[in-house]
Amino acid sequence: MLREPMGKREESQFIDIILDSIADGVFTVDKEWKITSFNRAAERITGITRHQAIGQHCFDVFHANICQTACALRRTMETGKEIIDLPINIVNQRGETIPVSISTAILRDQKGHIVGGVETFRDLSAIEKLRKELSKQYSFEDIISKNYQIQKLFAILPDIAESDSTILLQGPSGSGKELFARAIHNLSPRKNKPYVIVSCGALPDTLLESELFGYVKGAFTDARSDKPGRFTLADKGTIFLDEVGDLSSSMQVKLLRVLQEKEYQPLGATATIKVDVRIIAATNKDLTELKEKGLFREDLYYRLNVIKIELPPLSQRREDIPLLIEHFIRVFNLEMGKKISGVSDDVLRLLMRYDFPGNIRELQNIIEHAFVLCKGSIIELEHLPREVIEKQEHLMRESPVPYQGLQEAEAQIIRETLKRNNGHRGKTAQALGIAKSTLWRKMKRYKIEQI
Amino acid sequence: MTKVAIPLFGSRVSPRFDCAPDILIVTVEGGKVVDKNKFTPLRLAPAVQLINQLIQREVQVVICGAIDCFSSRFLTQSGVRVIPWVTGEADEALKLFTEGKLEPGIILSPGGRKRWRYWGARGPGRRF
Repeated sequence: MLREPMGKREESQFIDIILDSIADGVFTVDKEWKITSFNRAAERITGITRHQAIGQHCFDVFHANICQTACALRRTMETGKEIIDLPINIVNQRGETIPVSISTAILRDQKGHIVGGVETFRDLSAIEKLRKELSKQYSFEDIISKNYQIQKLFAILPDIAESDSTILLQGPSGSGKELFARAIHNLSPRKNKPYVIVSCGALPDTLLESELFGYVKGAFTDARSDKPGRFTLADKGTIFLDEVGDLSSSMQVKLLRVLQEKEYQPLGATATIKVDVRIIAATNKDLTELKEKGLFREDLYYRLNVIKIELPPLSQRREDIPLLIEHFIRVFNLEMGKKISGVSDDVLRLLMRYDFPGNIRELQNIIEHAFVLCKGSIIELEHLPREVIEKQEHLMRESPVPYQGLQEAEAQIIRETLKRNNGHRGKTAQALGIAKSTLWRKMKRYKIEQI
Repeated sequence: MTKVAIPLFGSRVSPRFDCAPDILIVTVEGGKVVDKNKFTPLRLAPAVQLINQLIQREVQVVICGAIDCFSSRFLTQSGVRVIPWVTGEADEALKLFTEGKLEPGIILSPGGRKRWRYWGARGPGRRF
């Protein structure tokens, strides 16, 4: 049975029914940016009725953060390029800021002339909420990680903190030793007492000794008054001894005494001072190795190494890189008053492959550097420090590009084998252990021309 | 003397308070505009920064388009009167304000005035 052709009115009703059945918000505009249609989901997400929206400027209805400065629909109308899933936010009629992702396209008439544009948008509130829940799951105190090893640490950290045992944190610089030490202190019964940090590697012996143990008036020429040591300042609390692997042998003896006797003697004093301090020591060196080489006292090693926590370098917990990038972006947005929403795919790809000799601190510095240079909302490759890009380019030249997926990998292997066999299909098929017909089929599928 | 801030989008009231490229600051005295100047807020800065800038400039009234609840509450609690969800040309909105006729939620269009139904509206328009 042939259907009667639809009239204009019927056709528009028919289109409205289709649009209303879509779960995403959809609106169309004419060339003057006035709304010509507004579907039911758009009403629900923006809180504005179709009746109110139609005839108004899209920016007066949509209230997106990019309307005034970087309108996506305008870009599409000007360049002809569609925009897909751009994350933005809108303010709805309830005054709530709603995260949405938008896609845009051009509307043309039958003759191909541009008559307006269409924008579809998806409410991301639920996804955003889930993402927040997930990020809660991946953070502990101020530490962020979904790495299996660190997640295991998260589970035992409260118990470790509860005990009063000495802890040895071992890991490369920038791997978060200080953050762990602070988390342990914050979770411990000593959390309301002092938390004192001493960087043992930064000071020469004599200075370090007076820093750690203090001195009494007249102990040396410039000692005009008593100075309490860091151990006294940390009494009833926690002391974090960073770079403990750099201690000289004489300082190691003095530290050992504090650990054994829980007392020490300030410079020039005759009496000893009793202290109740929990010690968290950290080092980026391998203390076991130092001990074996005779550079670190065995007795001190065993005194410090009661509970040992080893922190992996960032290159061994790459799954945390996106989480950490997101975290630093959030922190710097607050600190610098910016609204950067993320990094481009190219930047993420580069950072995922970068080996981060400076670990998390280096990642933090890279993001901070990018924040200073980035004027838009997405961090691009040109915002990264030059040496990071250069280093990565150097590496890329040395090692072939990793395959993007199984199919890409297969295509690449076929191309390389064909090249090795001067394009001889029989030899190539033999080398790959497949039939000639299979090779031919795969070459066709991956659009590999005869080499 | 009243100091009024209108976030701008070209010559129109910016559709969104926190994303306006320019802010118009107008001093109104005895129903007349006695001073007008513009400033450009820091791009991509959070709304709090803009609010602080307005407070520092001793703004007493903000005429704006869409505004999130947080910013609206922040302004009101700081003693700034907010006339939100105003749509249309800034000059027209300002004229109505000087005449004491500018209402929140008003749509100033050449075809006549309508009203948005928005979250803070009083009366029948409160729910949508």
